[in-house]
Amino acid sequence: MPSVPAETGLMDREIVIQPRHPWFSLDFRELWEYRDLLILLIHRDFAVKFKQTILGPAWFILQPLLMTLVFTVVFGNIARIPTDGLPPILFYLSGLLTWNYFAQTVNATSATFTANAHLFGKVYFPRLIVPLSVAASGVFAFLLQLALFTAFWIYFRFFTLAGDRFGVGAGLWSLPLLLVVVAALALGIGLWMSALTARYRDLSHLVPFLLQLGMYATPIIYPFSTVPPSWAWVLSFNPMTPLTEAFKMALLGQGLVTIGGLGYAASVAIAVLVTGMWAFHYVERHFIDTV
Amino acid sequence: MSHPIIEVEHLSKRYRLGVIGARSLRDEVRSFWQNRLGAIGEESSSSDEIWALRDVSFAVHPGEIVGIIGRNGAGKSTLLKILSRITEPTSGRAILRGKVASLLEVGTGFHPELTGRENVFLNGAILGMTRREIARKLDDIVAFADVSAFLDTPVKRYSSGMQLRLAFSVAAFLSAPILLVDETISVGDFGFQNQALRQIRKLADEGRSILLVSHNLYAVGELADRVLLLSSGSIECLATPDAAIRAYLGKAANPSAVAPASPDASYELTVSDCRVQGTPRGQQPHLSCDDAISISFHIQASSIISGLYGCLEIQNAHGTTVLVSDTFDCPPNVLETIDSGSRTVTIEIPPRLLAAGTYTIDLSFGNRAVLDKRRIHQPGVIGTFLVQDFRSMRQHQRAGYFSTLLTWRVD
Repeated sequence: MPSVPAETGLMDREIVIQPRHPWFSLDFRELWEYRDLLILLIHRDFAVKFKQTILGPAWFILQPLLMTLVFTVVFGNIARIPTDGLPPILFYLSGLLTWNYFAQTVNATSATFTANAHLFGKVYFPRLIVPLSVAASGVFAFLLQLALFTAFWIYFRFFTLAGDRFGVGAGLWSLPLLLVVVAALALGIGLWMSALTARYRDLSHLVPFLLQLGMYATPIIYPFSTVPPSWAWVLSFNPMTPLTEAFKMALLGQGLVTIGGLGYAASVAIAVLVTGMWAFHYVERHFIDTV
Repeated sequence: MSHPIIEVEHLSKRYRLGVIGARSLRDEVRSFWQNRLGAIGEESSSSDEIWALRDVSFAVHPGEIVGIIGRNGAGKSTLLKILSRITEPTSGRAILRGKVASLLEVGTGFHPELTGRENVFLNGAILGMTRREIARKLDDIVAFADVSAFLDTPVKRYSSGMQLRLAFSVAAFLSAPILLVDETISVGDFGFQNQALRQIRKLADEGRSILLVSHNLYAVGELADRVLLLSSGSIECLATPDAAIRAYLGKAANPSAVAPASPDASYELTVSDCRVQGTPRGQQPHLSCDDAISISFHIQASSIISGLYGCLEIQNAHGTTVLVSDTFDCPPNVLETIDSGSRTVTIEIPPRLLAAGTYTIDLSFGNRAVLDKRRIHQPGVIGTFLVQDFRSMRQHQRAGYFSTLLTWRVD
């Protein structure tokens, strides 16, 4: 009896296929085994974006830049919404930085099943790898936009009169941690939406709309401090509110940050992520049979 | 004998018809409760359920190639989908002692904008390999696919043949001990098909186990060590390729497959006792390329049917029609003049025409007088036969559709 080449070393791995328990089971070892797929999917996202467009990575910067300019003109110069005494460009850009990452992650992960139906029908791999790769490749766009922000920050800080009205706030060190919480929240919501849109296709039209609404329910184009107390509690329900404020605090030294608010946001993020994984897992089991 | 590498135990898969696409939330809640209640024990057998697989058990040993054949809807693809973990079984289980790679359809997992190299890595990773493993095999993959000159060209500029070769090579060279192949090899040009079949044989010789689903009975017969014949979701037999293929072809020619004459016809036409070389339907005659092959059947009409004609199609194992003959070929049309009473019709295929292989005979009748030219009677597959080449030097190595021997004359 010939033997499997020793180099594979895979004979010890026993896979048992049977009806799975409908409740939560997350195979972390398997996710780890597919880490290279995660990396290659991130690579694919970038390679494709760069190859298809003339401007390539510039789009990551142009989009928030143009949005910021529009906000500056419309909300700053015309509607005259205050910006907490901060240069409007920095104010809007810092808000968009967080929101863009959040919105893009939600938007892209919510299409996981519908966009990959063909692939999912042909080959097995842990499906969670796909939304994880989306959330991870979004970080690169975030970093590019952070670099753009830093350039503006340096300009306004050292070369304009407004420079002494802001500075790096407390908790700059917490930036990566904040990003992880935003990522968990976005991934959780995206997983929920992907599970729901796999079942009810028309919900996919709702996602961009809800995201747009969400932006207005988050202190991005207006400072939280100007929200009247009678409405502030409504805004506090939005877990993105304390996160956006914490980002502003870290980057510009302005923002309403409370331990309670951040604790609330983190708890919601974890709860949404865990239930989102469950919903994703639930739909994953039946999706292919219903396509 | 070592442990089987694949053990399938009482595997069943039920699909619910009508549960396609989106549903309303109310149905969802109701079916959720039904599932919960149903799980307690009572087995509902409502008519909108189909069992794509029912109580299938078998084992595959390392180094074995097992072919899976059966008609459309017999459960071949469902079985492969369960083993590749795309879908879950409803009950039963399968144990796989090793990683599984599937030969993907052309283009699945290939991104047109990425280069050949990038796609090899991506596809390999989708199949569960690490980048290191893929890098080690890259040269082999590229050499086999014969795309080394285009490795850094986006795949969108590849011909479909190049894409197919590359996709096959990725799966074939990656080091999974279990390989699932679903129809992939029946596309592509003849040369590549042979190359692919040889590679599959080589993988098995190296100790890999291969499950091969195909309509290409010739390929299955040549390659497989054993063949699993599925019928309506159950195992009909698991036997040597010859025995299983014979059982399958016998099944295909079952009288139940004969479609009835259209009910609105004012006349009756019955076809019976179909024979190939004197062998009745249900048995597969083994013929030599050097024999003339005679196909005969009894035909009985209630009256003279003006405009009646018959059409015979010979299909090879790939399902390709290789020969068509109808009663207009040699005027006068003999069927137009038959009246009541049973007649025997014989058609003869000359020797040294068809290449070695298995063939099916498809018979149908039409009526020229009927404007839409629809077929008025379709007995369908009335028989099968196997042709072998014993005499020529090349025997079964001869590719192509014909076994005709040509003279090489030197002047």
